[in-house]
Amino acid sequence: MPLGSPVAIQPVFRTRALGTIAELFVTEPAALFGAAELLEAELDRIDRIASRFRSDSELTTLNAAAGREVVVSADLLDAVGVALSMAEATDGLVDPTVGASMIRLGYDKDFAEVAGGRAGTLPSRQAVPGWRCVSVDRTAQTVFLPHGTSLDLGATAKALTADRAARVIHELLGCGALVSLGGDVSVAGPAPTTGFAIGIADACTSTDADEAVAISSGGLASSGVGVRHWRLGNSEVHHIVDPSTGLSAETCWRTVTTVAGSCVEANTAATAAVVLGEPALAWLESLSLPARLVRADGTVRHTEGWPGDHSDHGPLPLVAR
Amino acid sequence: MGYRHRRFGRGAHGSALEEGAWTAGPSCVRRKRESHEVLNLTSVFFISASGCVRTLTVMARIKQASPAQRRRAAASRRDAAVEQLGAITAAIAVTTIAAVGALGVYVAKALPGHHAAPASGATSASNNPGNAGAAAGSGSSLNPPSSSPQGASLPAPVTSGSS
Repeated sequence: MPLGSPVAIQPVFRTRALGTIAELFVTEPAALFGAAELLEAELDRIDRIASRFRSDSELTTLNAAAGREVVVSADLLDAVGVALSMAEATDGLVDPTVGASMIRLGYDKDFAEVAGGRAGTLPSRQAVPGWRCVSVDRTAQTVFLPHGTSLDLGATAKALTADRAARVIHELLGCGALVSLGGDVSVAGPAPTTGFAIGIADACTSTDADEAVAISSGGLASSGVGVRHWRLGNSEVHHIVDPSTGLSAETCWRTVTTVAGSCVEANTAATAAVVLGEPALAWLESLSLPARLVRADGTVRHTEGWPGDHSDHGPLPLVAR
Repeated sequence: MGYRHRRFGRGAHGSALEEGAWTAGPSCVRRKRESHEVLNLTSVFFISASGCVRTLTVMARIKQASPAQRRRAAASRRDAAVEQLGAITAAIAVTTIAAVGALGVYVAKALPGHHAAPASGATSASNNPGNAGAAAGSGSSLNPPSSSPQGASLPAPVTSGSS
């Protein structure tokens, strides 16, 4: 099959990983088996490195050693580096030092065990330590976390894995590839002439997408509060933490979807938009990021660059955070 | 055979030598006492065949110091004291500088948001969050896609949404 042919891509691999669904599509059927193996290897690697819920993960060891420098693997060093880069890019809206806040909110084990609700009360507001307190020494391959600081790489590690897997599959097998990890989508290599089509919905498990867009490069990702939420005592909480309060972000958006140069950037922008709230529209516009934002009442807003008719656009609020 | 009695020892003040051995003439005793007053020398005592107590002064002759010598000795002691004081001051200064440095490093590590400049190759998050972003195709910024997304028709093979 010639590369870039206008035929529909076929799903070649679908599995559960990282607490969600992993899907793989390639443009050449002959590459299916090898691509699936490469994806599985990437999934296994990130789980062993960056899982907060595995007692034997490198991240767990690093968090337990807060207060002293720890030698880490090149993979974890990269994952932490990406998280810090994204924190800097969003001026701390998406911050990896939310680990302790997640635990205070009851998210201290796999979500399947949290979804049923946790006993306790809503903790008081307490800003997270902040990404600037984390030190990375790339030469010595060490990471230093101050006492009381705990990393959660959930906002970037999954998207980073999607980026890596798609790129590795393309580089080693030569085909075009789309990797989706719970709706965090990365594409690499030659795309079908119409692009890789992706449905947009409130939940990545939905079979009834609201609309579809096609991308030929980079990444597309969604963040929202509609799926990963639970009760903490009498309070409803979700997994997107506002670093300035250490609590679940109080947001006007139910779901935000963005397209960017990579899946990591797309997911970071989407998560930051949820935290930012109403000013997110203007912020995403300023970055020239195509985005689709859904309010809690279902109203949909788009930024410039998102395909389709955007007659819903009113004046964008220019509110600084 | 020649000695009736023999003792050896140091001529320190009130030592055992004075208690049991001083049976000889007064001149010998007087000389020994003078030596104690002036120099406190180490001496060896014995009784010769003639019965006289003999003293071998090991270190030096007994001699009264002149005023000039005393001045020189005082000056010498003063110089030594000044030199010693200087050495102590220098040691205190070095110790203080080292302690302040160590405290600075400790405080820098203890306070979030304030970190000592790392060694060569090291980066703090505030300066350089790492270059792993480059591996993911990004730096410390959010870049738009190289090509804009296009509209597509449903159904799509994959769906993006909250997860």
